[in-house]
Amino acid sequence: MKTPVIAVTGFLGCGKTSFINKMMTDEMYKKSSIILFTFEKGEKQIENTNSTIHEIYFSKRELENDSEKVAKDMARAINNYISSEIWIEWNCMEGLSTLYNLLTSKHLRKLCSLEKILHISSINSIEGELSAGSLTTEQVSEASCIILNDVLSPMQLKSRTKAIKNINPGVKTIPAENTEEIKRFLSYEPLNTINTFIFAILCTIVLYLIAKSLLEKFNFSADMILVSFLGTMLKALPFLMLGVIISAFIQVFITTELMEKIFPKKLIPSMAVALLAGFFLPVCDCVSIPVFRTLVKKGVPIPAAVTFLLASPVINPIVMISTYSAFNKSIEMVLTRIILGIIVSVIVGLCFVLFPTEKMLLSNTFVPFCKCGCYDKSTSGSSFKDKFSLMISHSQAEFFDVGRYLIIGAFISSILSYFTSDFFTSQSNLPIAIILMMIMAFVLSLCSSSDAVIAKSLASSFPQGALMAFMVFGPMLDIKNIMMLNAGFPKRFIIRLAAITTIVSFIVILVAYV
Amino acid sequence: MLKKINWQVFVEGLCTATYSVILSYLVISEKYQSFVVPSTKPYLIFSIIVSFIWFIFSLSKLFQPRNRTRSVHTLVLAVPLLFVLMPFNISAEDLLTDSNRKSADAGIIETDNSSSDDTLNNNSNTDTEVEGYEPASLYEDLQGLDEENKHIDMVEEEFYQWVLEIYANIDKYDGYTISMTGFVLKNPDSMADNEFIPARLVMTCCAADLSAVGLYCKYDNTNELQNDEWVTVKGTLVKGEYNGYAEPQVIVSEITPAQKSEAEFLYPY
Repeated sequence: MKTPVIAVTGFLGCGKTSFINKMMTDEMYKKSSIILFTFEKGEKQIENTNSTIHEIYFSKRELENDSEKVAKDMARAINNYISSEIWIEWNCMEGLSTLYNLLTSKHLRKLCSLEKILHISSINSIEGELSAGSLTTEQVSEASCIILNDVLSPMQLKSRTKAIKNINPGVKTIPAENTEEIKRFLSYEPLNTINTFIFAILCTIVLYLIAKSLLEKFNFSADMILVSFLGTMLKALPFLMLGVIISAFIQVFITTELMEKIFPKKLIPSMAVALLAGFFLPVCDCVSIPVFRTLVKKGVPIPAAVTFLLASPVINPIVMISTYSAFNKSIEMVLTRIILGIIVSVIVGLCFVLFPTEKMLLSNTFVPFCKCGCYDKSTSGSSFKDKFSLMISHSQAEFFDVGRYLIIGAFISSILSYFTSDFFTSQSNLPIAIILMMIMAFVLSLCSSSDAVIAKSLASSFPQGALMAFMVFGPMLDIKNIMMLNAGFPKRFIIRLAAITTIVSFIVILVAYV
Repeated sequence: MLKKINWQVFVEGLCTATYSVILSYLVISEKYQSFVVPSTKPYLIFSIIVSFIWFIFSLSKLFQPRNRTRSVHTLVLAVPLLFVLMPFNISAEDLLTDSNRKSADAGIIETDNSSSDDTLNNNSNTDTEVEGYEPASLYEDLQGLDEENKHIDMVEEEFYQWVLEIYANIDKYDGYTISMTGFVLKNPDSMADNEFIPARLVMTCCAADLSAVGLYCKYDNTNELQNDEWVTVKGTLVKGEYNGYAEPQVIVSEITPAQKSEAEFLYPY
């Protein structure tokens, strides 16, 4: 039987020792014997009031010079004292991988196993926790539970929790004074990773079977919805992969300084660069969203980044070719589509000059944070090989991060388009037709490389202005990409972007065709 | 709980590897064509390579333990993979849900009496010589046309193109004889008792836009035909009318049973 290990992490002076003292004097631990390994000497001392705690201290130097000896010493202590639990007070300047290597080393792995990491977070440490790349960020992202060691107003609590969950989604946060809940958390055994996965798969199957039988009872075809969902996914996944790879490339290989050269701070040149970039990156919206995230992260002015986000799916060569062939080789349609796309994206971009959102996006709470676990390597590793492997892990993490919204978006859109196909019949009144086609583009969430074909097939039922709305607005905004923006952007920003884009597209297209 | 193996990396690797394998199978067996059009193939191959690279890189991280590991995010790949090999039962009737008959079947194109025509002809038909009067052919080089004998043979490869062409030039083909092969599609909601469509399923982009396409046929013994039965129809094209709109219709002269086509879908683009 392995002895369970609880590790306590946190920045210097955040109150780790006080927390341990408080827990150890609690009923739950009073009578049990505990081994406490401390790797840090803070201002406070461990109070061994009930003499059931065996405290052993290792200095950071010992750990660095001879971790094997540390592991041996720890093993000896575990063998010598019978203990029900092992607590570790970890050094805030030491990466957690050192702790993991220690615990999974041949001396210790049969004796004990790490059950939970408690991270103590206080006002003092918040700065470090939220600046990506630091060791404390790693501690936050690896914590099983975050103990909030300050008295916070409800507002502060909300924004702190949000910031923490941005780094470590779904982590439990408990105020330090709530000892009962901490105790409950310590005794609770979560589902392990592999079981969670199997459970999620089983849930999917069960939900599918229920939905299928329900739908068929009412004479709807579950297969049709599923096939259209799979079609959308198979079409979108390769493009999303392309997007995350371009985005990871920028993230790793293009430094912020270089980016500043490429994207000048001045408004007009930066907008021009955005449009050029949009033209030369053969992307659809699945690609532009991850790239947009990186641009914002790299400090590109928001108006330019927004222009890029909206323009690139509309104005690139692939879209031009597909529009050209779908509309019987009509150059006019291609040009109209491109020009309107540029006008709409530039106007929307300019709107973000009038209503700046930099604060909203760049405040600590919302820096789009990479979840690939690269914090321990991001500063080191300058060789091409290191950077390449960093790019691969970035891209994969981002793929899964954005992909979960893609899958939800694709699912909603296949359901909606199945049930609303009768709704989009024909309409000759221009404003109404434009609105209808914008709704349809939003619901269908088609890839911009192929939506021209669909638009063409509706040509007999809708005026051309409405088809344009479908082809200009659709790639900029639809269920799929609104969902994807959720990965890394606050709702307020998404709503603002969506509202401005919708209104601007509608007005521009209406003006162009009246 | 800390494990020697990083289970998150394990699950991610499992999903990326499975994606590579299943997608390779779909591409090689061409089964992917049930979901996306053939022109998607290079993108799918690209995605197979990317996910395989991810898989290889995840191997190197498999023994870097982590405390906080997740797995639900991998459903992004797991869920599509779970269903993609399932057999599907797609009913053509579901694909004819559009209540507007004019755009429902043929998925088209400018007819010469629609109210929106002015804008359409002015702008989208740049290659039309004189707007409205003598519409140019949408497709110049369709093989099945025999102008001398006023006959159209709608071969499979040109099925969709012919439907569009005939809808676009109803007057031009009025009186032509025609022969075509498709499966019988009857829909009591939007069709008269003596009507059916010898239809084909058309995919323009991906399975989300599957639609049933064909010409309306008038045939007195329609009730003897079974839905989904494959037939070759011979008949004469006439300019008919539906709800005030001109519509090409086929007066059937002969129906013979036909072999089911090997291609489940047609991909016009």
